[in-house]
Amino acid sequence: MSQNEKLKAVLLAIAKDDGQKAGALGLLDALSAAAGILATGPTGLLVKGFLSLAKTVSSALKNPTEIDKIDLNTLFVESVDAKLIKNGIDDDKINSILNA
Amino acid sequence: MKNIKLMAWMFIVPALLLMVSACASTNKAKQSAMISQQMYDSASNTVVQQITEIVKAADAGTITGAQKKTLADLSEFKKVLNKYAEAHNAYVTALKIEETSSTKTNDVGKQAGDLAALSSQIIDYCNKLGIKLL
Repeated sequence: MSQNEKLKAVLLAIAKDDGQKAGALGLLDALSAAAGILATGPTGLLVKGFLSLAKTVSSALKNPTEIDKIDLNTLFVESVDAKLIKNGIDDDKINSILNA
Repeated sequence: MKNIKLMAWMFIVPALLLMVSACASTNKAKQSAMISQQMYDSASNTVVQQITEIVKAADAGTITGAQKKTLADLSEFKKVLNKYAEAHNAYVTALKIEETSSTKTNDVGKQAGDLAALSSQIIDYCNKLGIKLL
């Protein structure tokens, strides 16, 4: 099983659990654990990506008081469509290129 | 008197442990949201950048067949990322409600499950398209 497949298996296990047992704690632990698994595995682009994430996690864990200060309002994200519209691109534009 | 103190500690210590554990859960939930945000921003910004470049090439009349195929893949990936953004924001909203409400629900856990399911799809697309996360 490849490292990415291991990571997927962990994530899917949480998904199947519907988050009721694992929940947020499981999600974080899964990502951290996956990064740990990946750390010893073959290096690839995605592997490096998740290792970077793991560093963020451990840094945050060292400063629990900092986490308390995080404003949840800063954690919302913007959809890809919203980001693309800022560049003047919408689905019609993309479809016109694909159908040309 | 000693017995009263002992009785008090029997209730206070578990209560404190529960409080600490509750704080830790909230912190971990926030950390999950932070990781999720970073992962999403990294993937979505890459997708936006790649789509923009291909659209510019199309406008300039220099788009290749390979770019057109990539655009089709990115367009499908975009749909998954949009769903992820929605699930992520629902997760953060559930966290906000939990932070301000005394009533605990399973919403945070359920949303975390949704995020996990979508994360695996994102990994698939990143593998397919060779997109680097972070």
